[in-house]
Amino acid sequence: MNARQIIDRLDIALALYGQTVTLQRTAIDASTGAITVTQEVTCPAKFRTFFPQDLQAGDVQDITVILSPTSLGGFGLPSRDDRIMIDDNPSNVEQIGPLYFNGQLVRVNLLCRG
Amino acid sequence: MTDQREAILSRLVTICGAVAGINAADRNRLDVSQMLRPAVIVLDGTERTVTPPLTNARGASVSDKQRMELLPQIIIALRGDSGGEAGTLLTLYRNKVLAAILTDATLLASVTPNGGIRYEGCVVPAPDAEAREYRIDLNLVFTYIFSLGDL
Repeated sequence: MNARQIIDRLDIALALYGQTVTLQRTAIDASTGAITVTQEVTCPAKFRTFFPQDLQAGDVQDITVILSPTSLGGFGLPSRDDRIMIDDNPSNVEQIGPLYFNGQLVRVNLLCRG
Repeated sequence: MTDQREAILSRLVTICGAVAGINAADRNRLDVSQMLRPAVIVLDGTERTVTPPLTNARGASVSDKQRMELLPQIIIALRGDSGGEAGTLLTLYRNKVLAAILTDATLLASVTPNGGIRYEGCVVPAPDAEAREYRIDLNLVFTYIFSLGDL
């Protein structure tokens, strides 16, 4: 088993069981607070949504996302300034968990909230 | 007649949504649709008596009017990034929203000559460690006459 094989397996799994999401790199206008998208990439991802188990009604949910480095390309590793669009609904990227095998990026786990 | 409380709260959402730069305003929600930023969320908050109805010598109420205070929570939410400091933006929108509310003729008319609007300060809660979300909570007090006949 090497890094390439791990990525290939992940790519196949995402193609079979994943869904398309869009990662957006955003910039904030310091004078107005307006959000502009400076870069984006559309890629397959597997995600799972967790609803908060409390009695207070709300719309905010936690989402775990699995991405392959293959589809990230020039976008590179997501950062906490990025957003992710799932079914046209934006969520904030709050935690990034890159997984490396033998020094090579083989998978990216994200924790998103939105 | 219109219920004063409802008139004030619905007008608040309209005013906040019309402030230049605000992309969404909603009421009684944890967040606005599509996470638009900057955004304002108005929570109905507390209504309480300031001056109870007049009573006669036996303690029976002789008036259907009493003076009330309404303390809605006005939350301004915006997104920051690692390139800048969000405090300046929070101040900017605090000023814009406050100016819009405190000078709105319709809102001032809603509180009648016996009431008023008072700004009581603001709070910036500590942001989540991982998030790029910032917010400022504005505390305003609306004093007005509650009349049974308005219901």
